[in-house]
Amino acid sequence: MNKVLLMAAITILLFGAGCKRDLFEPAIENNRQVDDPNALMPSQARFMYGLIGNAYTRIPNTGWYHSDVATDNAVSNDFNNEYLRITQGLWSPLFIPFGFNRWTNGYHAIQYINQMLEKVNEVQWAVDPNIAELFRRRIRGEAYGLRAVFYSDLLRLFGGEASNGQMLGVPLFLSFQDPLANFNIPRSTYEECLQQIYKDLDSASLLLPFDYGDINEGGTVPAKFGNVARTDYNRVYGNNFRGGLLSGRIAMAVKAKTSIIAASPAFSSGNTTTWENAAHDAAAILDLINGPAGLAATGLEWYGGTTAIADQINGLSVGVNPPEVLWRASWEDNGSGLERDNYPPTMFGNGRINPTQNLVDAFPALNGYPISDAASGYNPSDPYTGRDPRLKMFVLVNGGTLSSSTTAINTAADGPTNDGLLKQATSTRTGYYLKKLMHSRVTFTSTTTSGQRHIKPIVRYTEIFLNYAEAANEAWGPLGNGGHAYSAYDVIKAIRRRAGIGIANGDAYLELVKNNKEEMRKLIRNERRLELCFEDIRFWDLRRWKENLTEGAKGVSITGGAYNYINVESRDFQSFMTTNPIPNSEMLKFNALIQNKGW
Amino acid sequence: MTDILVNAATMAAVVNPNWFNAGNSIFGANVNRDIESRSGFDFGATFKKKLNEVNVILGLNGTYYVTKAIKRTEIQNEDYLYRQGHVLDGIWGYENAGFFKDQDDIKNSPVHSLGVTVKPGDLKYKDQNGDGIINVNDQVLLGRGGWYGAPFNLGMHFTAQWRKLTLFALGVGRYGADGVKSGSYFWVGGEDKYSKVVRDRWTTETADIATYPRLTTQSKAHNFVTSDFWMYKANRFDLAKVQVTYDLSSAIRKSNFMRELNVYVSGANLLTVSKERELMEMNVGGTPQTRFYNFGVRALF
Repeated sequence: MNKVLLMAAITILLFGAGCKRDLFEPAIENNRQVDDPNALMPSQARFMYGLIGNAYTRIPNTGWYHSDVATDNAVSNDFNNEYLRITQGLWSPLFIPFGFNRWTNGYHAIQYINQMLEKVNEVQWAVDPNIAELFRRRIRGEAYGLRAVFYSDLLRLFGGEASNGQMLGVPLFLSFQDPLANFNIPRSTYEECLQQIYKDLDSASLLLPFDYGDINEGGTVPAKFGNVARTDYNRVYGNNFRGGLLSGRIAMAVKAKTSIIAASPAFSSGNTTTWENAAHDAAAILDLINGPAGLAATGLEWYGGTTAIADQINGLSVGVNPPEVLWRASWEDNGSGLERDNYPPTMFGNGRINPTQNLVDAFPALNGYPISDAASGYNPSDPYTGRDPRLKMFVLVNGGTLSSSTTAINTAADGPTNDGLLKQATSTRTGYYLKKLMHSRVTFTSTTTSGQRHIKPIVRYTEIFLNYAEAANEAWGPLGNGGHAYSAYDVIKAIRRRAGIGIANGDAYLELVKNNKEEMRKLIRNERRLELCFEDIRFWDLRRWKENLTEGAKGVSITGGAYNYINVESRDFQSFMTTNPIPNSEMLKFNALIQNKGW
Repeated sequence: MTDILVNAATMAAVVNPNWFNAGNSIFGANVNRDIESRSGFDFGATFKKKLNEVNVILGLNGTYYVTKAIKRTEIQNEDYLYRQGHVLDGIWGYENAGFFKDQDDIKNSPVHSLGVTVKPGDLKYKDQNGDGIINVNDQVLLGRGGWYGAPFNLGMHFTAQWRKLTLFALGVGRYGADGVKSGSYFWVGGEDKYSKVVRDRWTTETADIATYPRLTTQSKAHNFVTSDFWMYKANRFDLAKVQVTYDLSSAIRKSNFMRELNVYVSGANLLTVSKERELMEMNVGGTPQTRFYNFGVRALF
């Protein structure tokens, strides 16, 4: 009898267990979810703000992309370098070294931003409702601004003429997409993307302070915030939030960077942004720093190329930028990675980025004339003397020095050390080593590393100056100013003066070309090449200008004091490679996507 | 048929846009989505017969089954790469076309880009998609691994009893699976120690009779990857056990101490019948396989 009872009990237990749904329904995950009502409480504001934190961590250009090694500016001595590989014909929708991550990261960030925008009104950002409202305003502004940052980057990378002949941008997702959403949507046009970016930037500018920082006693809160107590303003927009948060100033810079690309020859046929727009966008920022007069004197070796600038970087307060830098990533203390990669072998580096002869030849003579001009006084048997001082600032030429070292680096093919041309795997392939970006105090010995604080700008003022010069020259000619207080000529003059060229002769070369828009264009493009070299600019400039992509990289082989120019590496780009391909893995899934022309 | 869980990363790669997965952060959840089927049949038969004074029992049983990926969340670059519709234990790899004879042969063949610059004596693979490049897109279904058991399993037992003497034998057969000669014994590169298979390596002199690619101290990424060059049929029949028993019970009938007494001789894993017997009986890097012989007494008190 007992046995029967026991069996019955077991049967009921088994049957009961079988009915219980929780064996099959997964338990709720034991970590905080965004749709949990508790997540909206003031105590959880940091958690919810993390949505947008996920976007901040993905901002492009917070680290270095050395795309210059895929241009006529430089080569790499690392044969696995992905940029090097695309110069040798490996670029394809399956292999986009600088694109695939930015596609996934960009849209991933946008997804978080859209989620933030959908949640921002529900979250109690602070206990005090007035403060909560101020935070809400700021976070909305940040979200709009960040969305523009990412769409701008995606547009720069993937926008262009598609195989159907249309000028296309990227698919626009403006709301949070759940996994069952329809993702098979076509790319929006280039113009639609632009307008979306401009709209988001306008929203950001309206909502955000121009710069973060406390308003001191007696100061007034900007009118656009309405009737807000100064202390409340400081709590939400004050010193505590200096340091990389999206601001009105950054929104303006993003706009200037976006519009000049849109106005460029490669894209201008498919959108309504003109050179004039681009010039105004840049001038809006430059007006704030007094135009060319505000060009930072330390803007050439801003990376700490001199010990004085290094001291300035070391002395920065959190969230404060040097005068040259408009927007930067968090600084890196004790950094030495760039130097380890690029110092020559005798200084315990790997000699990675090797500037080309092409770039060296682009530096004018000290008197401001291009070296191809007889007036330059260029002496082929003594090529590095009497040149633009920026040459030896940015490029380590034979006999130059680096960092605090006083030992001349010998890059000659018959040089006695491993620094010589092609001596070993980490030697230069061109006869030059990279000097720009190298910190003046980083040194290595065989056993020690002395790292230094490095800053990485996302936008520098010099870039905005050059954007203005380029756009103003196209829109109004070298001397036109479109209503601003300065022309392209004025900007270029200031930049060349800062570089130290044409000082003795009143920059005669500039005076010579200032009435010729085409000659001026060449000069502006060349100045841009020099000033912004090794900053992931040239690769994209060549493409938006529709310039020759296939100019081979050259170097110099010095033997017995004689200079022999050598071909180092081809640039096997086809004519359609002015755009990036859309990643193949997305093309396979979504047939509404149209690939860029030629890919 | 079973629903198989597809993880969120695969969903992002195949169904949702790739940007759902940014490595350290992922949208979406794991979904029950894939479907696999395993079906087949079992059979068993036992024959009993008395032949004169000999009792004979012969038993036979077997399992045959097929597997299929009915639905698979995947995205592939070529149609023939899709796993859906194929067996679950498929071995995928390259089809080889012998060794490269010389530099001309290399020059006139598709570019082999498996991460190694090919030289004469390396394996030549077939360009399945005709794009002039040999890479992962040129892998095809080569056979069945039988990782969940060979497709066809056979068990056989045989008992013959004559008076007090009993003979028992058990055999197991496994058919229909394929194997790949891999591991450090067959795939020798880098600084690996040599096994005897490298004696037949390719050299310019032995180009016509070589059965093994050229030796290298560098990467194994070209020759030593799954290809039909390394495949073999894993069919085997094992004589798992043979036992001879003699019943001595009658000799102790009068004793109250013991009720039954048997003596026996048995052997286990006595024989493997297979083309690849040597390979199947070999363990590399571990304890060797054993063959047991037992002599025993069985007594019941």
